[in-house]
Amino acid sequence: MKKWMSILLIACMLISMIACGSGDNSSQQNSSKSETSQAETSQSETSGEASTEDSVATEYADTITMGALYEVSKDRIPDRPSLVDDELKERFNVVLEWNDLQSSAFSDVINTMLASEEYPEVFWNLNHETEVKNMGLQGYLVALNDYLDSMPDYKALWSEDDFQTMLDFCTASDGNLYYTPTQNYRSASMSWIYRKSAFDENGWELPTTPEELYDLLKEIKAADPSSVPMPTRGGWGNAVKGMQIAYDVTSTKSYVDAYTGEFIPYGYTQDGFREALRWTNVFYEDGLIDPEFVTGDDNQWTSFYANGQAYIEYQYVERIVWAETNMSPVDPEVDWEFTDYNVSSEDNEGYIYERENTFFAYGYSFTDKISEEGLARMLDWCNWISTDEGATFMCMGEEGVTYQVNDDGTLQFMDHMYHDTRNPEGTQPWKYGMYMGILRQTEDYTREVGKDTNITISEEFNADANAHFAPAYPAKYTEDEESRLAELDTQIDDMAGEYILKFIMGELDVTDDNAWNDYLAALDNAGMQEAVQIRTNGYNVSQG
Amino acid sequence: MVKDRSLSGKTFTVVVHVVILFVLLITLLPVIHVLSISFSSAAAINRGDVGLWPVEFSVSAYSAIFATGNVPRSFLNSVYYTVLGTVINMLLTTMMAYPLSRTYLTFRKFYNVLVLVTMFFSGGLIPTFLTVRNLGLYNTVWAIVLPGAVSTWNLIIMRTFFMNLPLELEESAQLDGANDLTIFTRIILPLSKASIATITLFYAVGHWNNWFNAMIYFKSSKSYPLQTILRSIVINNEMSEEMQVDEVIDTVSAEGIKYSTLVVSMVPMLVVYPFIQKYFVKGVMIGSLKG
Repeated sequence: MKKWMSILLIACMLISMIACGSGDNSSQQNSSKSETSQAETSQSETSGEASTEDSVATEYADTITMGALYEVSKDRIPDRPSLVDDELKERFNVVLEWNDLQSSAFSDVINTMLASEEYPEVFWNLNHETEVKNMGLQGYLVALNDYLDSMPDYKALWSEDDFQTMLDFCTASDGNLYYTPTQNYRSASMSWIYRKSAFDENGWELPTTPEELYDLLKEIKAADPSSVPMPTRGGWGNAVKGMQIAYDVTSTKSYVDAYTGEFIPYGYTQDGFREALRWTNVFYEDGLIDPEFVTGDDNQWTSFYANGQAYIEYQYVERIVWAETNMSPVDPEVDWEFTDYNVSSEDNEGYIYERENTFFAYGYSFTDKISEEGLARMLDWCNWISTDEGATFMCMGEEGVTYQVNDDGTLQFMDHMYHDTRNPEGTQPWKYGMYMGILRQTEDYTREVGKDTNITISEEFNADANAHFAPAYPAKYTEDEESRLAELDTQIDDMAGEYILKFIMGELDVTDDNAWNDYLAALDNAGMQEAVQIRTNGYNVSQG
Repeated sequence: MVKDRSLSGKTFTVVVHVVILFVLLITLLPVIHVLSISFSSAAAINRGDVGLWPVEFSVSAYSAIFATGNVPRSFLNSVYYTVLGTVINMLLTTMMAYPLSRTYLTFRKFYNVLVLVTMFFSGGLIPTFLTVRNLGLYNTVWAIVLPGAVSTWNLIIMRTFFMNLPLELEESAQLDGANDLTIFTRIILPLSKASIATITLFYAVGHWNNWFNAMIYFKSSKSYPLQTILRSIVINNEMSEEMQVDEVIDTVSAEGIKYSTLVVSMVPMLVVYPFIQKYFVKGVMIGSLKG
């Protein structure tokens, strides 16, 4: 027993010793990194594997190793070293040591990193614009304004005007740009998706006005009493959205009117919104939308499609694939399509759609720990992935490995790769490191992942003279205004939500002026006038 | 035990049974529902048809989660962290609880106060993180198993149990020539199986359910335990997107993925419980007499 006890004690000692020793490497590397000056880091991790360096341009003779924060969104973790790692090494002689960060724990992890100075040089793909701007304002990130001219291909992703607009939107309140915004490949993504097979079978006409929509929904309900003709995804926002668009009220709280050009500081007080509520109340009372829309969740919404109860909805057009897949077990011949217009009030000439910005507000950021040389190479990387060659690499990967070239010149993922019809079980592009961290999406990729419907609807709207949109403006607020606005919005939204639900569910009559005026007064009490003032100032500043 | 055969006694027994049955049902039904969904087809789940029995029996959700590699790898990580962490916990806790339970220990009160203070004050996340980093534990398994190596709560329970063991046993062993180590290993520990089993279970469940530390202390998500992955799935339905569930809804459902992962995370603990139940019932009472 004594022997046993001795072994136990020795084991304890060994564990303690290993524990204290095992982390030394990473710790020392990390601490040395944090203590090393920028200039030193640029030269610190030089290695000389001749075989690899032969293929590297002479300007990138020294290998630079940097840490990179990778936001794991939707569990997309590449198998490393990935094609991207290889390309970075071969083309720019850069080695990135990845640090994964789960999206769901973003705040906890990033705050811990910053407080302990344990953050890497590169933020690869953070999709948290507000936090990125704040980190920039606090001095953790490199301002990129002065470096933009060194990235001509990146700049060329936009026209001069669009580039300036992008800068207006994406710079922080100190006027600095702290990330590289990504080009948006589409300008619109929503319209009315409908069950074309059922429409054809029953001779139903597509509606163009709220009145026609109402008649259609009633007709559907009569033909299929168990249906929920127009299911929505849950919450009052989704229930009202299609109708508010019909009455020119966009889903952003403040906007510029698509027809008059007038600035509307709070859309939910507009007459158009009141009309949208009236229609939604009618739909609700007649059982044409989900009776439990208030508490409805994704599962409930999906079940309407899986049970074949859904017929038409204002939705993302790429959802038609999803709708068909869900509904096909109960209706194998089902076919979903989308309209190339939006339902609109008869008072309007044409219709409005929600036009998207020419950029997505996420991209690469670089921390104050990065060396000048490291930054230069990463910016070269950003510039390269903006070119045709680089964008194709980031989206499609490598020819012969992940994609092949068709006879007509288009690119197609190879057979072992994922495709919704060719190989649903195939390998996802991000397994190779692709897609996450793109700055531009190629047409081939968009088609291959089944999102070309977005391009189609964008082109349809762009070409249609009847299609109007609320022009975007980059609201400019001071830090104080921003925090006050957030505070007011919470109060106003709570109050508005309460009344809006009552209007839709018939507890209050939205057509009754007294009830509507009560609603407006309640919003005023919640601080709407102050919010309107701040928003108007923000708009005026943006207009110079 | 004498049975109370009076009307009020019988009524009381019925009420107790009804309450127990109610508690059993509200505990068991969600588990059965989770199991049923995990073994149902995607179409049935999406239609909302699944109640307490699988509809259109299918193991496609399990195939999907085991095909991606994340769940099996994180499962093994969890087993590793749980076993290693629990062994360290038990070694240190028993070895610290025993001397603290002996009244003749010099400065015993002082040590007890030192231990108790940690129950009311902690360093907080950032200082703990800095300590872990500066000790060289960051991005190693030791960052997961060492910072909480001794739980004050469990230590106090263990100490209280040891205090209940008669001092005479120790004295007689000393008369027979046993030293402290022998007394501890050959007398105290064998007499403490119930408490050791209970505390082991407390520690093991704690390690098994721990998701936060891994996210803070590991750089690579390949080191994450199952609970961290599970949390992501439950909160964000992340897995569904990974597997393009939207597009292959006929074989895999997001809900199916979520619930099958839940089942995978539940099974090990469900398997362990019956084996230590006999100790556990006795063990949970320990420490309730003295404090």
